[in-house]
Amino acid sequence: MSDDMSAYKDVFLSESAEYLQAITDGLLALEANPVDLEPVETIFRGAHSLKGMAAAMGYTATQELTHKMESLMATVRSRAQVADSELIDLMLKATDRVREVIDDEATGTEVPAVDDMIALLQERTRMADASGAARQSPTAAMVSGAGTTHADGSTYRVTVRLEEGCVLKGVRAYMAIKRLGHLGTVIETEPAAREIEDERFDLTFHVIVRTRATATALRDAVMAVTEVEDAEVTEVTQSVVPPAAPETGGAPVTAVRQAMPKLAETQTVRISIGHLDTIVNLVGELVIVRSRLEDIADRTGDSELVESLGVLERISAELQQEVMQTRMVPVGNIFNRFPRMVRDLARDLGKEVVLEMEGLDIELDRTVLDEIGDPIVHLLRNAVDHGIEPPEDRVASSKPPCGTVRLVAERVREQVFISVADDGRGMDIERIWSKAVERGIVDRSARDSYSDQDILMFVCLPAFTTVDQATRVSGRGVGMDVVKGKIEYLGGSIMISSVPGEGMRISLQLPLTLAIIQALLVRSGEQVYALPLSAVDEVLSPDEVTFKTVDGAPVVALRDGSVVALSDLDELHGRASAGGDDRSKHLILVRSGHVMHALAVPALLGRREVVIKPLSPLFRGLPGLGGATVLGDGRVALILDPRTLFSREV
Amino acid sequence: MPRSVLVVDDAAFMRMMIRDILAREGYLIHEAVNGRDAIEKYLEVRPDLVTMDITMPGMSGLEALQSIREHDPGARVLMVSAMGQQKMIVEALEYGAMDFLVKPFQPTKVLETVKKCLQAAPRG
Repeated sequence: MSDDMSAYKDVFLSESAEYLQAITDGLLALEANPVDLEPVETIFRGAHSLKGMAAAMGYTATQELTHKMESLMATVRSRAQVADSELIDLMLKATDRVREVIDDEATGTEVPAVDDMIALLQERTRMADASGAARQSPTAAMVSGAGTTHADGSTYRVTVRLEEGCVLKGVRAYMAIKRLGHLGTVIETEPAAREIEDERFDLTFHVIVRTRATATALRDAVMAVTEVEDAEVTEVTQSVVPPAAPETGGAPVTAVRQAMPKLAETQTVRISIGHLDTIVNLVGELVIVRSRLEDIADRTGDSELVESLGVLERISAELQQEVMQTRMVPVGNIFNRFPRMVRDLARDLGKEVVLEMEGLDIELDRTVLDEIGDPIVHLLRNAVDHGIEPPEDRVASSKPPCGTVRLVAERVREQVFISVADDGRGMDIERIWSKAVERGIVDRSARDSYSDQDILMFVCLPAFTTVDQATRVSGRGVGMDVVKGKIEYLGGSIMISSVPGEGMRISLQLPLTLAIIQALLVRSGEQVYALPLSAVDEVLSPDEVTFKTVDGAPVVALRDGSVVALSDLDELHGRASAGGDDRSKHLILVRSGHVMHALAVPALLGRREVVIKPLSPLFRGLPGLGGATVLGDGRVALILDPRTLFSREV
Repeated sequence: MPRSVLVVDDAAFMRMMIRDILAREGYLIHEAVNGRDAIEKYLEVRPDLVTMDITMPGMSGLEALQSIREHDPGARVLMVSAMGQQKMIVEALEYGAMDFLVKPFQPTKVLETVKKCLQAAPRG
């Protein structure tokens, strides 16, 4: 394959991942409803498209496998055989294999033989032939003729002219392109697919197609389309894909585009994550410079500067918002692999489980999203493994034999909630309690001072498990403590509720983004700290509260009568209280999880937007600190982490 | 043996027009007045070609197309649409329709398209 094919590789890889996902989703849908032909089409088309793409890339093993998958699905489509669970299983395994093979072929590693899988697929395809009812679709037959044995072929430029007075040119062009797509792989259209779809061409358009079919066959295929006046086919050498012909007035050809005009698709561009991260960092720097300028303006009181800064502030705020928006990714992107996982897991464990998902279009910053995949996997595994009972147990407790696990994402203002709920056996609070006592975590006599909620949270303590022998599924060293740690690292929190016998729910509260936060700046000695505003409940002056001591620990009583623990920022950071007692300090009510704390600080510096920079490894993991940020005047402020700030036992 | 065409349209006027154009050329015409009727008639008479109006009350032409092609993956269906139904035509083509006609149409165009559909290999 010539060098310029490598330019298509990224597109190939991301698009093939999408097709594989579509095939997987289709297979699961088909398994749920074997008579529904819609998923069959999806799977068939997915395999077909992959085959064509792989052929164009010269990935012969991928091409072979997807070809056999397509043939098998053709028998299902023509109803020559039924998609029973063995067939679905086989197709899922084949899909896995394709994923591996694509990896190998794309990286140029030696591809392990795929003969075994091909034999299995063929064997299953023949089960339909044997019944004599097989009727492979003409499309499949035609296309498989086009390139099963060898990826090589020729590249042609097909120039199509439509009849004068042709109505709906875009659709006619679509038909012609589609027919060419049946004969080979459409590499490029001129003008671009979108231009054609919007009828932004005169009567002529061009299609670059790679195929083993002859030029005559290509011409015949196009001429068969109604209202095509003429078609001209010329062979082009691989390395020359000519730019858009100027007479069509189309946009210049910049990169490989999808092979077919997809009329309903929204216009999107693929951008590498690296670029986005750089842009976010640059916007962050911009925010820092802006606040530095604001400091100068404050000092000098220059009215022109202040005015310009007002504009700059608005523009940079919008820019920042737009940039953050580009980083938002729907949770569906990671949720879509869960149905398969839950299905396989349930099968392994001999359970019946339905996974219901909701809120797939809820968006999260991709850094957050990347991090929560594993925790959610763990929660789902727990739900299936420990929550949902075996079918016979469920029936015995008059539940339906099939358990339900619900994965729901919801957005509430600047937070996203993701919950995993099951209708299984729930957690036994007394059992957790005795375990905690056994492990020496709590004292037996202290039972009354722990609420059920507190006790449920014990399962998030390191190495706490109520399952006596770790099963194959959960015995992988990842526990609830790791989940909780990860979620808290992301600035989120975790809540557990359970009704014995009826099920349980674990809810994760997550921030929309990590990169830029609103913070309250406070000072202790010479050090400036930034406290995330999301954790700040209220700022009080000392005369609004009553200072007390409970069991030797300082507390404050609020006006509404509630009592909260009091900490001093100076002391928290190992500094002797910088003179003056608490009564002269500001009190900030900080929410940490669902617990409120009062934090006494010597000086408030106001509210700022800060860009979070990770701490150097030296300070990482230091309790109470979540990162650092550079202030307008160049000073470094430490970002306080409310979740670990008050937990002295850590 | 004359080729048979099932003309599906809820408007009697349109059915009459297509019928006249095709009958003159020796095609055997059957008619259906809506999507559901189209499926029943299709299974009953197994025509060589269906002309299917896209917009019909109740079951649309698209649904009828899908259903007919589920029953018979070799069914040849020619969509008939008004201007401005580009997306639906593309959808119909995705579902296996062979071609389309846009109203108002010239008799010659109808004949040419019908002929083309009957010559082409059935789409699977």
